[in-house]
Amino acid sequence: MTKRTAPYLFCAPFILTFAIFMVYPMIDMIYRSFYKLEGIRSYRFVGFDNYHRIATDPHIGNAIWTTLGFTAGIVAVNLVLPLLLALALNNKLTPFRNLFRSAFYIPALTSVVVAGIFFRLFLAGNADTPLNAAMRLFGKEPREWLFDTKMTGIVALVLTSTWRWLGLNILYFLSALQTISRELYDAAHVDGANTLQRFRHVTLPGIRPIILFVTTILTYGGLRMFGESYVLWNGNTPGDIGLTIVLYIYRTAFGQFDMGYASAMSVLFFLLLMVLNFFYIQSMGIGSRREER
Amino acid sequence: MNLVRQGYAYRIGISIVLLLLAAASLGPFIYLLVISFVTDMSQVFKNGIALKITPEMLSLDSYRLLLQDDGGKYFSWFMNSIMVTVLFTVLSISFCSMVGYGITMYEFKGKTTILVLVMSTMMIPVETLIIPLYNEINLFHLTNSYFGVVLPFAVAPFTIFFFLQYAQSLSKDFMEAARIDGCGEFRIFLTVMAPLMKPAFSAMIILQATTAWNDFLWPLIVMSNSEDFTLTVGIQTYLSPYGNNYNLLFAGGVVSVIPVIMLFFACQRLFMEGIMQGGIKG
Repeated sequence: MTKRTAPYLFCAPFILTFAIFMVYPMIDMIYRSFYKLEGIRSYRFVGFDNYHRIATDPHIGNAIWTTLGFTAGIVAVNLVLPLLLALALNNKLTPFRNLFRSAFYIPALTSVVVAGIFFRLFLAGNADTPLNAAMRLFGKEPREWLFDTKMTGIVALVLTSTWRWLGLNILYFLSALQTISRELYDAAHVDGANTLQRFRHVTLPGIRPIILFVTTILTYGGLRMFGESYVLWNGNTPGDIGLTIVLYIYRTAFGQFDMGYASAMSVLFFLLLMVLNFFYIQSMGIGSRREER
Repeated sequence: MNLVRQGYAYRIGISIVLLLLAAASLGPFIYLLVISFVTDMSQVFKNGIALKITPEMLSLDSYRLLLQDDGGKYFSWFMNSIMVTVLFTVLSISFCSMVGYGITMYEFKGKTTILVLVMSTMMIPVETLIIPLYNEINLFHLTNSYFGVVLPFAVAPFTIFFFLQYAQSLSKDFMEAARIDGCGEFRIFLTVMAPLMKPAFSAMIILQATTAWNDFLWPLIVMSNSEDFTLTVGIQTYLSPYGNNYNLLFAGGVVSVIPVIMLFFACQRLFMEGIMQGGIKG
């Protein structure tokens, strides 16, 4: 292996994976979206029928709203809360910083199934759950949170996901905060900037790239939501409460074996994500990043 | 004096806030741990999600049931999860570090193309491709096999990106020196450069191992024989429309968390270091 061929061999695993598990499935998916599975193995060409169906399927609208609502919620909560916690954990005055950092990270080690087991109970309709007991203090009736309204369904998803996602986002923010040089703060201090001004003019610009990065992974994490939804409602979503796009695609494909229709939905979902991706890459400016370094 | 007092007030205030949030973080574990020892689950739910648990209610019965249930099925799920996790982590770490390193350390034709491909596929969720991937795995006769679970996602752009970023802090002078000593390119990577990326390796090993251990959607699709399930897929079958087996659910959930927690505490320092230093700089 010479210096000339080496890079290609190093990159070979990616190129192979890309071709076999990305390009080929993509083509297969587009192809199948024009077909309808009949019986076990025979596909019948149906033209754009699957796509027409999407426009009139009432579940799709519900799934899209739940997914978008969840995404908005998860981005807002998981941008603000981890940033505040990272600021606290980055402050030398805060006691037991490493201990707290680990405590917040531990939920990230669990599976969505374990999280789901707990939050199903936590959000249950029983009058004595901690949540309903707290609501009673405010004079509210106990509620079956998971089956109440689409809104409580979304809140349940945000809560369950935040529990698991918080820790890693704190770490991302912490790592960014530690790259900001001490001198910038000292300089701002000398110039008479107060805490809020220092945050606005030193911290925020310093962690801008990581804010962008975390927003992006949260957006994609929100749009692809499946696990929490599947486990919290155990695959049944009466009145489409908690039904996300991916859960609907999954159920159509592997519950009803309507592969053609599910493929058509996946194709549109994929296109949506590609468009988002385009904006993300634009904002990162791949071409220019090389020269910077 | 005023500043000292301010610092004092801050410490107390922040400690209270952090303690409350840490309790919220760890509470669910403690709750599941305690409840997994309750013998008669109907007691728990009568008492309203077990806020009042007395010592008489506790025993190891749930764990005994877990071991015996259906000829020790839980044990085979556990082994499947171990196999999938080890296989995934080994493949993912060795290949992704190679790719990330290769892209960063060499100048070659097509470098920008590959970089753009990595970046643009990084954020494409696997969820969009589950249907054609399932058909493909079926075609390769890899359903109900470890490789079926592992292969499609082992070389993930995100992991490549992490190594790629980390490699940018490495100096190419070491490579030149090793070349002069007559070292081959792959040996340079293995013996000279990879050791320099140790923090990146440890961070990614933990992250990939937890990802593989906790992965849910893809194993759910690939594994259809119940003895081939991984833990996440298996445990959720204790929840069913015909009634939930809470004893097995709680005990099974607790046991499933133990290996990752152990791994985390064993490599905690290295993990934090790796994420902090190597990290995503955006």
